[in-house]
Order: sequence, then structure tokens, then C-alpha cells
Amino acid sequence: MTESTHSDPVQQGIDDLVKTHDVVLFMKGTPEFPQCGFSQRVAGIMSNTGVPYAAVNVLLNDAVREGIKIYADWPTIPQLYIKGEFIGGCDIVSEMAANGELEELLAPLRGSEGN
Amino acid sequence: MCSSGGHVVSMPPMMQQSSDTPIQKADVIPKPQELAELVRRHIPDAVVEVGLFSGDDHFEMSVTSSAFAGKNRVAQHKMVYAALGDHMRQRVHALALTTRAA
Repeated sequence: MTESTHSDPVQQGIDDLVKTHDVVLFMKGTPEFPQCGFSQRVAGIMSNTGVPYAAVNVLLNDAVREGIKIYADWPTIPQLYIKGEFIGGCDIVSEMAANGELEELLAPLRGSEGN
Repeated sequence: MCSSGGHVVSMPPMMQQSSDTPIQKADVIPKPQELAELVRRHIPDAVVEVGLFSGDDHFEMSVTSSAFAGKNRVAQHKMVYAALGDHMRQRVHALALTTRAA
């Protein structure tokens, strides 16, 4: 059963992505080859947490690159989503990583195998 | 070294069509003071510090206002982005933003 809440297929696709993955990072480039300093910073923070995350390279798709800004009503990339909720961009994620809030959000997602 | 925990996911096929209309870049890059004035206009008691951290279109800004009280950071940043309007979409390449409730 598909419950379509977005008439725009791009918005629906983004919605599906952030709801089917616990952690999704929309970024410029990939975690291995980031193409923007802000994306690199957030990917680095996320990789350091050890929690698996899905990375979407918005540079591969203009519709997603613009659509994600509409989806979150947020004008910049990177954008981090946890459990379907928009968490923030580089500044907010950096601050949350420094003050422990990010770890609080991620702790319930850590699998037993993840040390 | 440690491997990155990120795995790359691709878009569903329906999302692969790209839009044909690239965003037009406006010619004029705003000056830091113009951005500060916009924020003060929309958030009247805002104390704004703004500067450049790279080139002429990579801005850093800190905003302190009582209007942020009781709002989470995402909401606070959205208020600043709203004040900057089209500048955020067109002429500002990067904005490192810090907000604080007064």
C-alpha cells in the first residue's frame, strides 16, 4: 500500500528516502570524495560516529539538488536527516556533534554489532 | 585507515530526470553589511556580526535576538534565511551561521 503525500515525484522520492533510512545525508559529492567543504565536514562527523548512514550525492541530480531545499524549507546543502526528521546543516550538526546532542540522537540507532 | 560509514544510495529512476533550467546566478554579490541590514530589518532587535571567511561570497554570520527564544536551532536559522531571501538562493555561495537567543 502506497500512501502518497506528495504530488511531486521528486518530493515523494526524497520523502521515501528519508523515511526508509535511519540516517540520510544529502551532500555534494560522496563521503569518500566530497566536493564541498561543508559536505566534507558533516560526512566526516557522521563517519566518525560509526553509525551507518545513507549518502545522497545531489550533484548527480539537479531535481534532487533543488528539491531537497524545498523539502526541508532549507536553502543549503548538506542536510542531515535522522529517523525522517531534518536535523540541520553543517553549522547545526557541528554544534550538536560538539555538545553531545548528536550522539544522543544516534545512540538508539547503534546496532549491537557496532561495538 | 578507518573506512567511512556512509554508503552511497542512488535515486529511484523517476527522480533521475534532471531539470533543464539551471538557476540563474545573479551578478551582484551582496556586501556583508547589506546582509546584516536585511537581518536587522526582519529581526528588529538582532545583534548581527557578519564577515567573509573566504573569497567575496563565503559569509560567516552570528545573530543574537530575543526573537529566537523558545525556538530550536533549525527554526532560528530559518528565520535568518527568510530575512536574507533570494540572496540565500542566488548570490550567497556559503553562509556559516550561528544563532543565539538573547
